[in-house]
Amino acid sequence: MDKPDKDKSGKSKPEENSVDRRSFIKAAAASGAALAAGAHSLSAQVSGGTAAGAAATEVIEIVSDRKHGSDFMMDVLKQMDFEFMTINTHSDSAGLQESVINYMGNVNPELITGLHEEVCVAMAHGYYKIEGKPLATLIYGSVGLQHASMAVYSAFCDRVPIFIMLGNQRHNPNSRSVQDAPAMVRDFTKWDDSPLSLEHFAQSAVRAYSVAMTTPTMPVVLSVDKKLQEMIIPKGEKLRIPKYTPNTPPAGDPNAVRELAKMLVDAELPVLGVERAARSQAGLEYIIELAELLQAGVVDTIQRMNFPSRHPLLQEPSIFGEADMVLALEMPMLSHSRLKEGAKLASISGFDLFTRSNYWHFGDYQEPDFSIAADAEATLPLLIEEVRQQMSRSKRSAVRARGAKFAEINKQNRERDKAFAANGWNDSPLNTARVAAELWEQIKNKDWSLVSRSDGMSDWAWKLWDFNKYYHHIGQSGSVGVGYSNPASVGAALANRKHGRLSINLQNDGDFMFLPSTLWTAAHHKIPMLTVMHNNRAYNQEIMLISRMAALRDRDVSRCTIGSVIDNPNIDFAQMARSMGWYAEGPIEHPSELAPAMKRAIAAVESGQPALLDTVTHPN
Amino acid sequence: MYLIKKSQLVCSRIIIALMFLVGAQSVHAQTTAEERGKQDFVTYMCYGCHGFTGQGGQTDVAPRINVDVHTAESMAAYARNPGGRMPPYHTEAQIPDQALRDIYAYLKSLPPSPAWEDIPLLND
Repeated sequence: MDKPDKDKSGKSKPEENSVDRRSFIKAAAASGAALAAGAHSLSAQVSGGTAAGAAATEVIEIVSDRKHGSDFMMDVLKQMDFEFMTINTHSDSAGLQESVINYMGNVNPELITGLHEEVCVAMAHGYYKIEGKPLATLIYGSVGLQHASMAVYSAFCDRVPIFIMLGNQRHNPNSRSVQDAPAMVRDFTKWDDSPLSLEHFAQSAVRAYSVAMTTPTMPVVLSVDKKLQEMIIPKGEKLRIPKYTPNTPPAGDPNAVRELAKMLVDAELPVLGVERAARSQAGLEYIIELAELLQAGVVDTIQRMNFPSRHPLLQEPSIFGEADMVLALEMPMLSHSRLKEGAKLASISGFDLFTRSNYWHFGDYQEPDFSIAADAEATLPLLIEEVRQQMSRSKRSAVRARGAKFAEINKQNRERDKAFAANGWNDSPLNTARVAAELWEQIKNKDWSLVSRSDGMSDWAWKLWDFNKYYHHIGQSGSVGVGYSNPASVGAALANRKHGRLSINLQNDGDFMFLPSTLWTAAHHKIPMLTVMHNNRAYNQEIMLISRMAALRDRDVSRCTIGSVIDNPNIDFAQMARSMGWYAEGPIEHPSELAPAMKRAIAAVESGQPALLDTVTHPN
Repeated sequence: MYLIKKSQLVCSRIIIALMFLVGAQSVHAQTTAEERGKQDFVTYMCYGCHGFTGQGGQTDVAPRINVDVHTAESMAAYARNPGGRMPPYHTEAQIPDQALRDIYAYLKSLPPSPAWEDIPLLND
């Protein structure tokens, strides 16, 4: 761990601290290699589910000279190798924040300033979707968590692990203290604790991380008392940090997988339904391999980057009604009722391994004919091998015909979409398909990543762009809550930054206005990204719904914009972005303006600046 | 003197009022069915699902209606009693017949969109 020897004023730090630091660095250096190995193994596990015998971190025993409680907490967090910690500063985490700054040197984790707690958590959500590992976030236990709760719920629904730390003050209560801080999000988190001692903190922090990262992955919460953070650890006290050993994700029972393979091989028209099936590039490649081996159709709800957007086996959901065998991969809401009479439905999902009762994010009971409670990505290598073994040579020849049938359906669907895209091509306000197509022309030869909700801009990016790498899109919010996309896109762009990828955010105006301060965070931390507004000056879906309601009631539809439009005054998004340090242009209303503006904005992004284009669009 | 002035004033007012009426009729006459239809397309919320030029929403939300609209009568009949997901505009109070005719004129007036095969950006 590299730490500064001098503070910002240039003064040397007190000698006793230096001694203390050196003694710790020794221990940390000894564990460094193991830590790196552990991180690598974790990555291998997550991507491939192959981690038997993975090296784990070593036990670190610290002999304290002069150390504060929050310094020790940082020692504990080192194992998790958090690259960043999002924070909305507050009084009850002053000890922790100061330790990140001075004890850790603001490195691993580096503090990322959010101007709203929902920004902090949603950024962590987006970051995980790209990086495959969680961020830590530090927010106020009472008022801060209430702000953050919506983003916590989204992460829960989307199976995204976030390591949430809450500052709280129970030993010396004030008017903002809370008796059981994590309680308000307990219905939509996987585990929480409020440690009473430093060793308790160490135990619970490692446990929380392990629980969060074991599929089904989810947010966890630690409430950290102010007194515990600020206490001085008595000289000579030994504190133990438990080692963290990543769990191998749960794979399906081999006998059950064999039986499932037989069902797939025997099917006449098998279809794979994929939702949160791929957690990594490896997962994406497994799904491609299985689909191609079977020549099965694939229906993707694009909650993750599961399958290439231009793969000929990609189908639309209506194909479920034609299949005689459907395998749902991490798609627990695919109900049997969508299949034709007599068709079989099988499932591989970790959903039943952990869920909660109060918030009904599960929909109808699936009623599968065959079900394996396991992680889909970890099970796919076994399933692929079984299918390969059971496929006879004659069978392989026979499945080619159905592959050709799926490819023809795919071709027709794509041509229909393009015909739809062309309609209103030269319109002003802008056709959203035109915006997506113009943008694709500018980015298709770059290393790009769509960091917003993948159904943004009326799905046109998904329909027109060539998505084929895991980081090409980050899926949806999980909760369908408004306000997710803006901060999640900045979190994903933060993860993309070190990879040099061009991060693209197709941003709805209504969603944007929930947390506009996110722009400042992106500019302040020099997170390059291009935001293109889908500015239809309304919550248009609601306008459609309310108009329909009025029509069905034989009432006045002409008044149904009340409460749902965002005009009068029109919001000047470009001006807002410029005020917070972004390059920005707009409003852009004519299609001829698009390509030149996109070129200029991408040049700004490639120079390291975030950029926004305010494109005024059709409603959809 | 006073009476003459008063009668002159009354006459003036009548003349001005008549001028306004004639003017208003002229303005109405100058507004084409296409222009009124464009406004009605927004007023009666058609744009919410079908877009400002009837080009359609997402493929599974609302169809394009700026092509293949057979007659004003068939379009009006469909709006009054639609099938599928479109909500019904049963009554004159919800949308007048004249507005439906004007919307039809507006949709017919729109220039055709290019074919996707002729758009390089849709052929990569």
